[in-house]
Amino acid sequence: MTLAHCLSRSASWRRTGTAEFPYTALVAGQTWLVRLNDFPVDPMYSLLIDGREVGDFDDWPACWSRPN
Amino acid sequence: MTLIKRLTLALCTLALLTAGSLPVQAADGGPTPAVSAPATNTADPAVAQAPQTNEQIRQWYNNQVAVIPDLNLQWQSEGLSAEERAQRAQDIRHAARIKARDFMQNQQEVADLRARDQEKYGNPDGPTFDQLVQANRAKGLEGDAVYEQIIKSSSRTNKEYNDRFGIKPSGQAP
Repeated sequence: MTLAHCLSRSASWRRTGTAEFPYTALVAGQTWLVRLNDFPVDPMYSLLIDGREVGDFDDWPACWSRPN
Repeated sequence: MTLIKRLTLALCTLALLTAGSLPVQAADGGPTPAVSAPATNTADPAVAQAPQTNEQIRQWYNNQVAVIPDLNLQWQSEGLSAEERAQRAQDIRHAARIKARDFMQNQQEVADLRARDQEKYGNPDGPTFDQLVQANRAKGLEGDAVYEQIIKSSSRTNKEYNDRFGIKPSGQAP
């Protein structure tokens, strides 16, 4: 699954309680995890699926719901 | 240019960056357009230049730190020590980091970044100069090499990501 595909797919996120990996979601049986990077030196986020790094991105997709 | 004028120029650079408008000096010595601070009056033409998305903010940040290598050469010619140059480079980088967060429109994202920095560095605004010195010494660096590494890392950007998304340091075509 490519990063572009993941960023265009709806996902409902919940907080993990950790600062470096603040959000996780269960999508089609896979565990998605967002890592917060050293922004603005590095991209804002990295997406990991089942522990594998899929890619980096800066802006949170509109189709991803983030907890308040 | 006299030493006093050069020092004044460096201090003005820091002041303008802190205020949100850093006139970046191109490699040929000519000025490039200043970057505007965030504002709420959208009728102001300067506001249109303010970065809106995180990707645009990263581009803005890249432009700010891209001047550090040239400034470092200038500081070297003025006889500043490695420690003084490293402190100045870190001041520019740190101010740009803070200003970048001022540009961010989603306050939850700002809070998340501050929480990350607090957890990682014990400081919500990122590493201090002393922490960078200690980190480099812990890597085995000694003497001026500690400070030269800080200067080098002050203009570091994520090259792979920038290349992929066409984000370029100031003065380069997209």
